[in-house]
Amino acid sequence: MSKLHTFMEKRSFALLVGILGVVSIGGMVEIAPLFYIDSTIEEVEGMRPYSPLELAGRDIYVREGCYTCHSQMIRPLRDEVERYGHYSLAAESMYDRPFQWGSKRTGPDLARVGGKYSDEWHVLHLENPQALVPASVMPPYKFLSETKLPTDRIAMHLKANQKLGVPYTDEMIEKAASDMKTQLDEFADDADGFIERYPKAVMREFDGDPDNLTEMDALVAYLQILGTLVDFSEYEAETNENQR
Amino acid sequence: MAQSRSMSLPNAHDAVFPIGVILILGFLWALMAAARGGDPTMEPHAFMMMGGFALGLAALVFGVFDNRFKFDSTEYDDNVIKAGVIATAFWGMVGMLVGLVIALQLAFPETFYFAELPWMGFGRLRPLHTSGVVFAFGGNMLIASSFYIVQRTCRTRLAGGIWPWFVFWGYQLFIVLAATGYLLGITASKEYAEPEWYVDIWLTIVWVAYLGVFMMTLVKRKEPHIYVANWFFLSFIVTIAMLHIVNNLAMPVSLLGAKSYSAFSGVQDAMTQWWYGHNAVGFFLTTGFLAMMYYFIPKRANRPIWSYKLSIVHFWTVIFIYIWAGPHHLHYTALPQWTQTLGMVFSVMLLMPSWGGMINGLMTLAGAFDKLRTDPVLRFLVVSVAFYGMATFEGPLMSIRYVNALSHYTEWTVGHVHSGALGWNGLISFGALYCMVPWLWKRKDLYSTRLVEWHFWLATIGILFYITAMWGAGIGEGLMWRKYNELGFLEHSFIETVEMKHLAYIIRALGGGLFLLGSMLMSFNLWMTIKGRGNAVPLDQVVPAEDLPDTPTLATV
Amino acid sequence: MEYGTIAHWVKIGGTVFFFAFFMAVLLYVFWPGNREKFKKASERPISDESLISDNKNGESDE
Repeated sequence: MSKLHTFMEKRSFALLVGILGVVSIGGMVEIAPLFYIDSTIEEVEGMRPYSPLELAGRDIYVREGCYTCHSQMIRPLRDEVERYGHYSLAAESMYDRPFQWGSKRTGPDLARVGGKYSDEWHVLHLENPQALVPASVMPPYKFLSETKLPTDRIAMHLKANQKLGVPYTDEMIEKAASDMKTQLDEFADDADGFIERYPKAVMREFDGDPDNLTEMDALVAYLQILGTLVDFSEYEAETNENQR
Repeated sequence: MAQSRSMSLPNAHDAVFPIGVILILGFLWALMAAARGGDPTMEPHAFMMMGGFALGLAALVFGVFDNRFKFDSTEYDDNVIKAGVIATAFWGMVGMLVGLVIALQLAFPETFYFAELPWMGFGRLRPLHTSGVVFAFGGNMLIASSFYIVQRTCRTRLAGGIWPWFVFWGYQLFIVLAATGYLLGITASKEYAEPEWYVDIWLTIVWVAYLGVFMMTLVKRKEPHIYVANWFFLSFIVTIAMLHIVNNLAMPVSLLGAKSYSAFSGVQDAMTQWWYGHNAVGFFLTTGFLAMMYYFIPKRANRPIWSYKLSIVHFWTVIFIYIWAGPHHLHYTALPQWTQTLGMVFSVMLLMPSWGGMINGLMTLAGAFDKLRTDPVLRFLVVSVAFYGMATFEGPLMSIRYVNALSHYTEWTVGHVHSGALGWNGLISFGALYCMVPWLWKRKDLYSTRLVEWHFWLATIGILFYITAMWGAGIGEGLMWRKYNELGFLEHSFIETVEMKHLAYIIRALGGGLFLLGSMLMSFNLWMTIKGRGNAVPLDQVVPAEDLPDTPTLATV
Repeated sequence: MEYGTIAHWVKIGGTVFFFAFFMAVLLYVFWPGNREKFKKASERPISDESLISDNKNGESDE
């Protein structure tokens, strides 16, 4: 009887192992090389980790599921480049955890929305999209303006990213909470230090309410930096190391 | 698992201790997260988990002291399947209702958005809809039907004593945590893998238990050969485990907080996600449901599968090829082109095994097609296979780079997904539910066959409305996005394409509404069958068997 | 590694592997000794009524 049992068991586990063998090859061939081949990510100037406020804004973008309707990936097709700007590079999302390329454009692509609209436009539009774009099908996000943004946990968020290899320095983590407020005020004491840590960061009072640090501030700060970091005057698409 | 070689299989009480340990550890962790986590978003979830684990522990203690965990090994373990069937019908209505709500939001934003209710936003409800139908409806259907089929084709009772119940309730807890998480804004934002890290860990525990139950049932089978439906189930369980674990690797911000950051970034994260995402379709929504096809169609039609040989070729080729197809979700993106090309080639090749399987399912009825006229349940099963064929033709077509340039980011993708999800997964699940309920509850027939007819036509017309509307909207907007005027400028602003889709959105919502209505009719019908009303006479009241009409479904239960 | 090298390897290695794998599956499927087994297996779903009649003669398994 135990012989029969062993035979049955062997058959079942052989099937299990066979399935695992067959289904693991695809992933090994397609995913693993992306971590080793140098040309997966282009060499560009200007990419840096998100500032604490931008990161908090990005977390709100993720939380609200913006990716369900907005892509952040401009394809190298003529109409897309004309509509949205230079096609997206892999380097531009190298600090994006998780990536937000999206899969659906119920709304327009946002990969290069930074700098295209004023802060005020963004705030009004997020609070009531139909007020600015009558045919819009976007939900209202008025509560973002009314929700205060806590600063006490942001250092832990930077720290988690640092553990994963995002180049946040210890100084950045230490100053994370104060940097959130510094970004709202270009005349703050540490403004110079801040811009040195996060070059090209937009320093403004985003939602027009200087007394309160709100989720709206963070989200607009994130939107305004999108797609603006890479210096395309320095980028040579045709060089060998940028061919993929 | 290896040490079980010489051991006897675990009996009912062996499971109490490990399950108790899991529940106590889970409870303690949730307690800590609630008491001193410091993460305000986590708090409601932590209390929910405490409640879930406490209920589980109470049930365990009650079961032991009341001596409830005695199982008769001469009978199939059907109670957990009955629970799964009810859960499937329930979650199906919930998931489809949320789908209808978000469809209406896009059709009538002014009416269905509420500025003061953050959780009602499209972005939070959409994952609730997708997870609701895929994991809550589809997942419960898969677990229930796999438990049903593996016992009957192996001629043995389900292994593991109360472990199957742990799988069932553990999975319901996963669903509740995932669903409420999205509403609270707790999401990892990877499509179809949105639950956060701690919910992922919980699902992993449940899934390993599921794999264990399924494997050990195979091991103690009374038949030397493992029936092919079980191959499909096994590949679904194992592959989903692999995909789930790899894709959800993440660094929690704090061990007592909700938020985490993905272990991968940018392009690697995208590739990992769509390797997962496409194979969630391939192994959750395809191989798992093919297993149902390979059992319920032969069973219902009372004839063996057309070609058993073909089913084996179908199995190995479909699992081999599917796993490569993920990169077609990333055509023209920053993903290296060699990966995109590889994904495209395999996606096109996928047509062959898919159609092999479809032909195998349809040809099983060869010579008995008249049964489709008289048996609407069989019609559900067979039409679902036809939709499977349609979706698996459309899929390879859309994976071709030049077609994808047009279809990607548009409503066409949404239409494609729904022709598969509603037409294939939905209809075959309905057919399987209509089969299983009278068999499980030992009823002569369903409460009402006329209601099944109604359901069939509501569902079919609903699907047709849905996919034709999305074809029009998707191809239309794709063409408008790339249209140039005679001066060489882009002809349309983005918002013009949104306006164009308004009518299609309304038709889509209508189609989805019809489909939901059909599944509500089904739930009513199944409930009345369980209660033994109408034609659903309990079988122990209808002896002798010779008087029964000559249909296999009745005589064989 | 260059794109060309990878593509080369994947094309040749992959094709050979897939072909060998496919042949192995076909061999298993058409192996004469398996014919009877498959025929019996394909009738499994149709005759799976109750467990009791089956287990009466055998030993219980839990």
